[in-house]
Amino acid sequence: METLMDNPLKEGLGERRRPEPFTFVIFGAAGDLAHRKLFPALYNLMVDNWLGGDCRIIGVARRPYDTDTFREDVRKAIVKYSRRKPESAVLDRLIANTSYLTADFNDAGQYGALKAVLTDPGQDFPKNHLFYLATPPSAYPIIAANLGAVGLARPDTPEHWVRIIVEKPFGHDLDSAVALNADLHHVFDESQIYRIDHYLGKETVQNILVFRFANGIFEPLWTRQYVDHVQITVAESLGVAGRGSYYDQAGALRDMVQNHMLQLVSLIAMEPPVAFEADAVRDEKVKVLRSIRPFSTRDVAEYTVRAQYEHGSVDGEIVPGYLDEPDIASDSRTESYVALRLLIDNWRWAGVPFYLRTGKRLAKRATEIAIQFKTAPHRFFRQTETPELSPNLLTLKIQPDEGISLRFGAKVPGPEIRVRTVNMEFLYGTSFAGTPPEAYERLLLDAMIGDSTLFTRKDEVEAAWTLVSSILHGWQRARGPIPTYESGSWGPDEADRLLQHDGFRWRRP
Amino acid sequence: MTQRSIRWTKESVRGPELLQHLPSIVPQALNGIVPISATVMTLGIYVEAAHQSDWIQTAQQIAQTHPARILILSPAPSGRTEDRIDVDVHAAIEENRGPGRPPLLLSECLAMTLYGRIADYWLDWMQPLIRSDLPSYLWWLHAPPTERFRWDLLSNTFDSVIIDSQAFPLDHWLPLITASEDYGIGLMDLDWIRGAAFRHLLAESADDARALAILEEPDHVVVTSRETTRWPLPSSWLWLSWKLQWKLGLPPCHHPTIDVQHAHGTASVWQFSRGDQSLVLSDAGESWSLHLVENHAVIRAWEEPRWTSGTLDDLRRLLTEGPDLLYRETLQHSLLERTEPL
Repeated sequence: METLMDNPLKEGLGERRRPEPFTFVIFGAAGDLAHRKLFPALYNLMVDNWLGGDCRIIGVARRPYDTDTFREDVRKAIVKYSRRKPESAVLDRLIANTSYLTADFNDAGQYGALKAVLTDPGQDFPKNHLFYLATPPSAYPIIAANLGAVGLARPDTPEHWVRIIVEKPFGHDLDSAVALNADLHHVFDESQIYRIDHYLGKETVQNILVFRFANGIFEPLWTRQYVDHVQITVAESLGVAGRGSYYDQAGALRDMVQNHMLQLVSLIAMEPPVAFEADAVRDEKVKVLRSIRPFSTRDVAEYTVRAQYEHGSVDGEIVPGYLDEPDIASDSRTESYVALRLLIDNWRWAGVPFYLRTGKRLAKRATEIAIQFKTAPHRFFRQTETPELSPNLLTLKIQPDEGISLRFGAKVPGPEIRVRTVNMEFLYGTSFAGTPPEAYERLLLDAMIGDSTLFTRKDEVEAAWTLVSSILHGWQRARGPIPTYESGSWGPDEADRLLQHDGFRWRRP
Repeated sequence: MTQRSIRWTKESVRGPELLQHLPSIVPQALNGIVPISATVMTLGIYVEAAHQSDWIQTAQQIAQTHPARILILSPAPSGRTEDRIDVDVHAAIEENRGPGRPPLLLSECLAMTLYGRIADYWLDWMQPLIRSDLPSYLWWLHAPPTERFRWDLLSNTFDSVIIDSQAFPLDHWLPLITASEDYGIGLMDLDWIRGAAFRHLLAESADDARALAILEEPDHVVVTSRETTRWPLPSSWLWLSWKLQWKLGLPPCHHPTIDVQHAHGTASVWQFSRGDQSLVLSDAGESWSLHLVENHAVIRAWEEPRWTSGTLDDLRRLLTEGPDLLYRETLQHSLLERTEPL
């Protein structure tokens, strides 16, 4: 008996981020992602009272479990992977609301069984349905089509909802992404589709928007007038670590740049949205992606670098080269490192290069965005002991050591004028004590309440793939050996030359 | 990284001497290294000297979620003495953070017993101890201040005052509420945080036309609570009364058409009745429940988990959320704009 009348008690009351009763159906529930991320996230949401007792979970996978065995597995996964030591009362409540259905995703007949369970009056599952595809990407179109075929892609009544969360990778090039979007749209509306990029669930990534748009001091400086260039680094010290067969098909460009790094570029470069609402924010992000200057084949050769790691030492351990890793073809040309220069052709960023680099087996794990400002216009101190001044650098540290630092020059105490570079630092871990929520907690909750701000929209995915595909095409045409870099270094010499060409150098994270 | 505590105590120290010595306490314990401070706020607490050690423990628990400089001030037991201070400093430090990275001062608690006239000037004494340019809160644990309080001093020292209108009735806080408007002092109420589930449940139910009809014009309201002298969640009651235009104010409530009664029971229950329908809101321990009842049969139910568990948890949440505009508006409309006697 809900009506659209004014409710005086909701005026001024803060937003209530608790979902309506819903059934969470996880395809691929027996897999690694579900165990490591999804169930611990659900548990922590329940601990923090974001989920009531009216969240029911159905795990769907091929493995022939019964519900009791599955529950025991889920319990162990939460104990092992939860960011907090589990409380038995909450854990019991979550487990009691969890059940399992053995099903082959390719078998259309088994979706009828799922529907029978969801609509069984005896089991009384909530009629709002959230489907999570924690499966290989090849299964996405099949699952979506079958859900549509049995009528599970639409809610029973206008009061209820059906949503679907799709994991990355979302396509392996522009054509496949467009095809996948078409497959999903055949069954679901765009408003029902939540394409997850877990980077956007990170507190530090969300803080980019807060930092930029909740502080008056930075935004006026955030333009071509004051910014010299931007460096975005996503460095990993790990190798392909058991993901060899997947990684060798993907490579660093698809695995990191197409999604995570272009998301970071969008957030750093976007204009202020008119509201903190899903489409307003995503409209601005898409505009950035569309403003990135396309790569010609010549540009690919000149402004991109790809490389593979050789053996070396990382974190004090001797590690093999990329071609010697398990499940990697000995003649693989897949890049484990990529560096590129982007130019954003809009009023704010014209002429400001954005340098991106990501790689495996680099010197240390670090994800950072460094905004280097132009140097002081007049060398006032040129007659002193410090004729050259370092430019100011604002670094947003995404992980680890999450925080923000600002580099500036300060006078060294003494009778002479000497300027030394110092840092002002803010650290998340100390200013906000307590464990921050995992990215999946935030993103799952958002999908549950229907907030798609932190999910990737169709046009956003396609704009990102348009750029990345142009680089892939350029690389396909290139001949000759792929550059290499020593494991434990900061990448190949070619990447250094990419910046030297413009008079810059990579910073050391 | 390792964490360690530094403690420093001294008796019978004079104010200027203490102020001069305070900045060197931690560096001295760290062999001259000056730590970076990670504290994000100052929290002042004025308590009885007898309970100071309990409050030091509480302060350390608060600092685990809100890195803070916490000032615990206690007046010495009465008696004429010279002006002096006994001080007990506890600092939490993070060390060994990697090459070239100085130690971090995570939190600091300064427990001080004030003797002589300085006990009367406790608010002045707090001023030089407040961390500049960061939020500062005074947790007011005692009977509400009177109209003659030095509001100017208070507003120059603390951004916000934390009260508990469950412990002392809201009308006793009127001088502070008025001053908060006049002097721009933020007012935060632990009772308001405790009532969050109450407000959200009622607001959720009011999307249902049947529930809203009962709430807008109830015949009877029965409020049951454990304590016969105290009305549960008074600030949220004011909010409800204001939003629904009951114009009831604080209890005892007299209204020409709404019969409001207070009953004694084992749990807090609010029953709003209209004809053969009623809304029953109960504080059921772990969670809150709300039932829409017709002819003794439940026709719809809502539930909300408990948001906080205990005063410390209430305070942590309050410090996280900061002053709530809705609370301020509730007080303005319910208490400050009233013309009839409360």
